[in-house]
Amino acid sequence: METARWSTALLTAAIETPLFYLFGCRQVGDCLWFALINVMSNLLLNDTLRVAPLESCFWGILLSGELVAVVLEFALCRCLLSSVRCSGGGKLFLVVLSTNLASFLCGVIWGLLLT
Amino acid sequence: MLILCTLLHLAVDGVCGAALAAYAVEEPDYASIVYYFHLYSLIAFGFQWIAGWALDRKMSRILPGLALVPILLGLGALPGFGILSQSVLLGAGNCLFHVAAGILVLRRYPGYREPGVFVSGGAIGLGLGLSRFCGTAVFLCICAAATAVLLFRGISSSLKIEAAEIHDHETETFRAAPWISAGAAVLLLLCVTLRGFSGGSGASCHVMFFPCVFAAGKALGGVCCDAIGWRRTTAFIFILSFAALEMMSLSLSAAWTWLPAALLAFASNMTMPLTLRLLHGCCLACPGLMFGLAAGCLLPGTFWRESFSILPQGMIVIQFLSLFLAGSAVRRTEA
Repeated sequence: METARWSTALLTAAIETPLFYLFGCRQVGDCLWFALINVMSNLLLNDTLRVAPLESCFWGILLSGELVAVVLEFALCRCLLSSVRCSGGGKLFLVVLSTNLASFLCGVIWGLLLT
Repeated sequence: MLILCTLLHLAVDGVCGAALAAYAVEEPDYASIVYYFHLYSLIAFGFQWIAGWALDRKMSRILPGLALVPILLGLGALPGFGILSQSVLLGAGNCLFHVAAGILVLRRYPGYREPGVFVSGGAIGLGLGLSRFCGTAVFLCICAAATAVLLFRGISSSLKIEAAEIHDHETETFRAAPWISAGAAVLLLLCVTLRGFSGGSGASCHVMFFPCVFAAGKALGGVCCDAIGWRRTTAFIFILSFAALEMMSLSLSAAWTWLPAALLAFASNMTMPLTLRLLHGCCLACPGLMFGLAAGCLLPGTFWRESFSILPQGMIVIQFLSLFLAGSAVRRTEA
C-alpha cells in the first residue's frame, strides 16, 4: 500500500512537471520544487480521500479535494519558486490549474481503461 | 529589554507551573486538578484580550501593570490562600504579564525574531515549573529582580513606552485596509486555534525534551522569518510538518517514536512568531488586543483536545493556507 501511494504521487509529478516546463517555467530549480510540491499535495490528497466518506458524494469530495490541492500547490509555488515568487500570480494559477487538470484527466482515462 | 522580557516570561510561567504542580502532587482527585488547571487557563488566556485592550487605550498603564505581576504571583504562590484563590491570582498575574510584555516587544521591535524569542521563554519556564525542577521561590526571585530592572528602565524613559504613535517601519510593512485586516486576523486566529489542538507530546527520554522543542520552534521560527522571509518560512513549516506526518506513517522502532511528534511540534510552534507579528500588522494601534486574542484562541485546544480531533493532513494544509493568505493580504513587502 505504501508503494502504491508513492508510485501514484510520483506518476502525477511525472505528468505535471514536464507540462510545467512546457508552459514556460524553464528554471531547473523551480521544476524540482514543483515536482516536490506535486508529490506532497498528491500524498496529502490521497491520504485525506482514504478516510473521507466517498460512498455518499464521491465526485463532490474528489473535486473539492482537487481544488484544495490546486490552491495548495499555487500557494507553495508562490512561496518557493524564485522565478514567479515576485511576479503576478494569475499566470501561475492558470499553469497550476492546467497541469492539475491534465493529470486528473489522465487519471480518469486510466481508470476507464482499467474498468 | 528582550532578554529581560524573556527571562521574566520564563519566571512568570515557571511560578504558575510550579505552584499548580505542587497542588497537583498533593491532590488525589484528578477531576479537581483538571478543574483548577482549566480555571487558571481560562483566566490566564481568556482575559488577555480585555487586559490588552485596556493597556492599548493607555500605554502608561503598562508599567503599573508590570509592577502588579510579582505581587499577584507572589500571593498566588502561597498555598495558604487555597487553590481557588491561587488559581485566580496566578491566572490574573500571568494574563497581565503576557499582554504588558507582549505590547512592549511588539511595539519596540520590528522583526519576527524578537516575539519568537520572547514567547520561547514561557515554554521553558512552564516545563521547569510543571516538572518541579525549581520551586516557586526561585522563579519569584527572578521575576521580582527582572521586573525591578524593567521598571527602572521604564521609569528612566529608556523604554519609551509612553509613545503611542505607530512607527514608520510598521506602516511601511503592513497595509491598513480594515476589511482586509479583519479577514486576515480571522485566518490567523484560526491558525492559532489549530496550533492549540496540535499541542505535542510523546514518550521521550527527558521530561524537559518537549518544552525545549516548543521553545526552539518558537525562537527559530522568528529567526527563520527574518532570515529568509515569511513566505519561505511558511512553506518550510509546511514541508517540515509533511515530513513529520510521513515519518508517522513509517513503522519506526519504539526508540524513535518521539521523533515525528517532536518534528510536528517544532514545526507547529514555528508559526507562533509569524502569527503574532502578522496579527499585530492587522491592527497596528492595538498590539495588546491582538496578542490577547491570539492567546484566547489557544483555549479551545486546552479544553477540548481530548474530545475534538482533526485529520493532521487537513490541519497542516489549513494552517499553511491561513498563514499564506493572511500574510499576502496584510504585508506590503515580500520580506
